[in-house]
Amino acid sequence: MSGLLQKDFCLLMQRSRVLVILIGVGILMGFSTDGSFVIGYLTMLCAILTVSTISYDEFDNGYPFLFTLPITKKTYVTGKFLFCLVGGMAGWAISVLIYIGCMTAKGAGFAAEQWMEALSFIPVFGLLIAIMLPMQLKFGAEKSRLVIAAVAGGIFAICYIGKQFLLKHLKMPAFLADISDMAALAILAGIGLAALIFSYLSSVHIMEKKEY
Amino acid sequence: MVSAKNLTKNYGDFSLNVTMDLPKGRISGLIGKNGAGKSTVIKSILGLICPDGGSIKVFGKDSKELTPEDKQKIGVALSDSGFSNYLTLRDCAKILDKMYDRFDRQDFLATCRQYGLPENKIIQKFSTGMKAKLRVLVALSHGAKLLIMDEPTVGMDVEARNEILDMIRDYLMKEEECSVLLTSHIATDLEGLCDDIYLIHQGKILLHEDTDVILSDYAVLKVEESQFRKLDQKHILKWKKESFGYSCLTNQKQYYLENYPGMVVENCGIDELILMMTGGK
Repeated sequence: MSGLLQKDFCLLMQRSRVLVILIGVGILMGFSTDGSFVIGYLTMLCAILTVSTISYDEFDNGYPFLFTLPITKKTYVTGKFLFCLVGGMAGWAISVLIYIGCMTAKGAGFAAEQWMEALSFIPVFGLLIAIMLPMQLKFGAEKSRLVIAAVAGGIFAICYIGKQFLLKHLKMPAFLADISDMAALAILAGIGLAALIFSYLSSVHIMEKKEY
Repeated sequence: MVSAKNLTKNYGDFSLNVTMDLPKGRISGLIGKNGAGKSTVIKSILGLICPDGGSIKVFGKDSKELTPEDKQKIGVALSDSGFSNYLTLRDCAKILDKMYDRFDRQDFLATCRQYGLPENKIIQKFSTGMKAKLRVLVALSHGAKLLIMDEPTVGMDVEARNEILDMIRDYLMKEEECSVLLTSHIATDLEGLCDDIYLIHQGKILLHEDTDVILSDYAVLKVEESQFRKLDQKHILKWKKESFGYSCLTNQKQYYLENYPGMVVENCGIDELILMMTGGK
């Protein structure tokens, strides 16, 4: 496992310039925007960058050699999830620091509700990884872009139509209207965690079935 | 070390059915034309594909059940797959250091330097020969007891090929009990290295013979049509119509030298063996 993480880290470091540019853009955004957009922006981009290490593994028929190394396919998937989660969390931590730094420089504080907002990005990037990783493993880097675009479009359409329908025909249930920010965050974290577990098990299954 | 019994794998029109053994300390060559099934055999041994039937055992275990500890003892050089081209040699050394218990990072980097491989250049910028050397050096870097090498010298000039073969020879001097399965299109590579040869064609093993026996007892008889009719054919394995008459492959060269004085009897190398066994009747 440590060898796989080392490999992914080395591959990510090949794009260290991109990381530096992203952080630079993040700092500029932190100063130029008032909202917490910078947190979402950097966290998601870091998650996407870490997931993209799969493309490097796949490129130039790399998988056959990779699986002759002393690892199992399950270890490979576990390592990839771990790397992406750690990468996403690192992106989140850096973006929060940038946000706090910018807010402090502007003379504004970082209140409890802003912490809630910042924390809400963690399960969202968890969901992003949960969708992207099995797609990349199943369809490969090229095809998965189309599939992910289709899935994202589908989710957006369902959410939009569902929201319109609910607003027109139903009243929001009382327990949802009264829900606290903390409870909403806990629900979101639960959904993210469940998605990650399901995604991990699916990814292991996908890899076990694959032949090289 | 490796034992395949009626190993079958089907891909559309292609069907592999192979039985072979690779004992401890043996260097076996697997030869055959493109698409004969060499890579399928190698992928089956390495557990990269699932056989449709039969069995393939490595260290006495089904190849699909090989654990990471078992894989520590296998060194692999594949012709068309290796470390990501975006890594450097130094990155590879760090990765191998974390993967293999017996890997010696300093020794590996020193050997790479000795063979002219730059440490901080990404592999993408290596020449074909440098990439092939790296693949072989990686396979030899962690004290493997079983080496699986698929076309380790493909696309290389004579000098680079000899360097790679010398690397393998040096390794085998140190690890005497190591078994090797080697595929190559270049007959001289195999003639100088392998103890025995498996000839595979259209997914079937057509011939399994010791290399020494091939080089000493096998021959190609060049005969005219009239000679061919009178020829004792009990030791003729294959024959092929030629413009001058017939070429006949035999594994009893001495018999024909003694009984047919004056007949053209040419020594048989592995190239001739492939041509006759796969193209003859």
